[in-house]
Amino acid sequence: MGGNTKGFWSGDLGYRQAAAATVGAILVGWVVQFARGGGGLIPPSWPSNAIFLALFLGWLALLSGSDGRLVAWLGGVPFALVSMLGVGLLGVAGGVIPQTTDQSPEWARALGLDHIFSGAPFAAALLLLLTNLGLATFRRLRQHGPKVWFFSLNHAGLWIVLAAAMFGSGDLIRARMILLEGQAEAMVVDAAGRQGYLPFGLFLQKFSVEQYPAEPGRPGAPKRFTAEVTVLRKSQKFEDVRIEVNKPFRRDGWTLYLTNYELSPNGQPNQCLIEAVRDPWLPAIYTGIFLMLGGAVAMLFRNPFAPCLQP
Amino acid sequence: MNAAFSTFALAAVACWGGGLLTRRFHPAPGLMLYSTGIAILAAYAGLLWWQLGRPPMRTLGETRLLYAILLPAVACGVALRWRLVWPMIYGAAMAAVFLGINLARPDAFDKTLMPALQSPWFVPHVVVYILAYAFLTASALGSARFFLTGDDTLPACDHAVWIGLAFLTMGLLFGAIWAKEAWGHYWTWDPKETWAFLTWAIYLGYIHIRLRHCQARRFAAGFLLAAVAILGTCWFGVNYLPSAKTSVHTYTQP
Repeated sequence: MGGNTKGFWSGDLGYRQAAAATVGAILVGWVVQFARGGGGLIPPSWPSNAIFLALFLGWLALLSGSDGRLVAWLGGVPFALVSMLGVGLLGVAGGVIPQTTDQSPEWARALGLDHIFSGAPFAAALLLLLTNLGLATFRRLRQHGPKVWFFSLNHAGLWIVLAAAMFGSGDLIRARMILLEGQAEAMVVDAAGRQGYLPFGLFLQKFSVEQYPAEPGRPGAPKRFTAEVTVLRKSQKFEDVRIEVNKPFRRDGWTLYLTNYELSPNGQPNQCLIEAVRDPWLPAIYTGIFLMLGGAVAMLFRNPFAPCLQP
Repeated sequence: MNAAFSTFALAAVACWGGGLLTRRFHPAPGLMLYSTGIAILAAYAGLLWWQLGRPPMRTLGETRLLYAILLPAVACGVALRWRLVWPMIYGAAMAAVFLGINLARPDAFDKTLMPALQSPWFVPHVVVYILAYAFLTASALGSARFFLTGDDTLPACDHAVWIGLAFLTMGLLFGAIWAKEAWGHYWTWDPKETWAFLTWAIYLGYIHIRLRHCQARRFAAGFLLAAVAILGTCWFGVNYLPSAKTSVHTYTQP
């Protein structure tokens, strides 16, 4: 087991113990997933996700105060590398196998291979990585000096991005809406077919497509889509807005993206597809992203390998 | 424009070869001639931009052109900083290979730019990405040299990975911010995104391994070769994977 007289867990804690913990967590995730018929996890939504996250963060902060060998191992580099490998190997599976649940064979569905990134094994591996990253960050924050800043920008930034994306996914709504020229609509439908309503209605005045000029042997490709829309709100003035690709429209916590269009039977574009998104955790994501960008810029001005250069 | 491309490409390769030869006897003029080769290709890219009316960064061929400009530039920087010659030789050879691929597979030079690509994030995202690729593939060339000649190239590789990872992080995050504006979500585990994450993660792993285990040199050099295979999968290999048909981000094939 441990390779020496001490037990596997009572001797030095390193790569092998980290591998055991990671494989164990992923297997538990797989058993849970298989027991539930192979379906993806249903992430908790507000407020329970916020409570879980707060408890997790508090636990990490408390644990990081201990200088025991278990905590040093859990927040150390070997554990980081092994848990990253766990996330990475699941990622390779998800990057090779098409992640389309509607066309996959039964066995792939039961093993969760066609929805790796919403499955319990991936969530388990990510939780281990978050535990490691959080502990490493808190432990470093208890130290002093310029290195602390550099380390924290990168590590805290990544922790915030991953944690907010994972715990916030239950509050994310991505739904579709079809607008027909000359008609009003407020209903949206998500990927699971559930219906909902926006707090305002949209009336599509005009949808137009600007094409690049056709060249010999090459039909004209679309250059610009524009939806001219009137926003209808109870007891408020109507508002005329334009929605274009890369120029979404934001109102009342919703962001509306123009994603596609359909042609009418006479070949004229007359309806457009809108993606309606509500993502209350986005400010946390951007906070993490900008911390990481700061860390990336700081990387350009540092030389971390000086200790490595001596043979 | 293709006839013009072969002229510019041959002129650039001639400058690199001439510069490297000259450098053996007269370092400063050699470096000047080598840099002229980079400038000639940059001028071609500028012309192409003007002629197409959009940044030449959309097709796989255009990313190869950008790489053939940035890799020798990065190699020059590494060579000057570390007083080495081999990065310039390897950089020029690699860039010449990529120019050769472009000569063998001329793009149709499609002028169109689909609406999702018309964003202020387009140019910074692609430029920092290709710059990252230039640094990271330079580290792979260094590790190949480590195995072929036994030279201790690892210090130069380490720094190339460090700078490359900084640019890769920026590219990944610019991409996330742009995706939020264009498609409504910053991350959807599209195959291209998944491989971009894996590429980022493996170089992140390299940094941690090097800082923790300096002495495992052969392992580190071998790790860099595995890492560049992941990078290649992300850049062009993803087009050939079973998952590619579900991707919205694969580069337009000429």
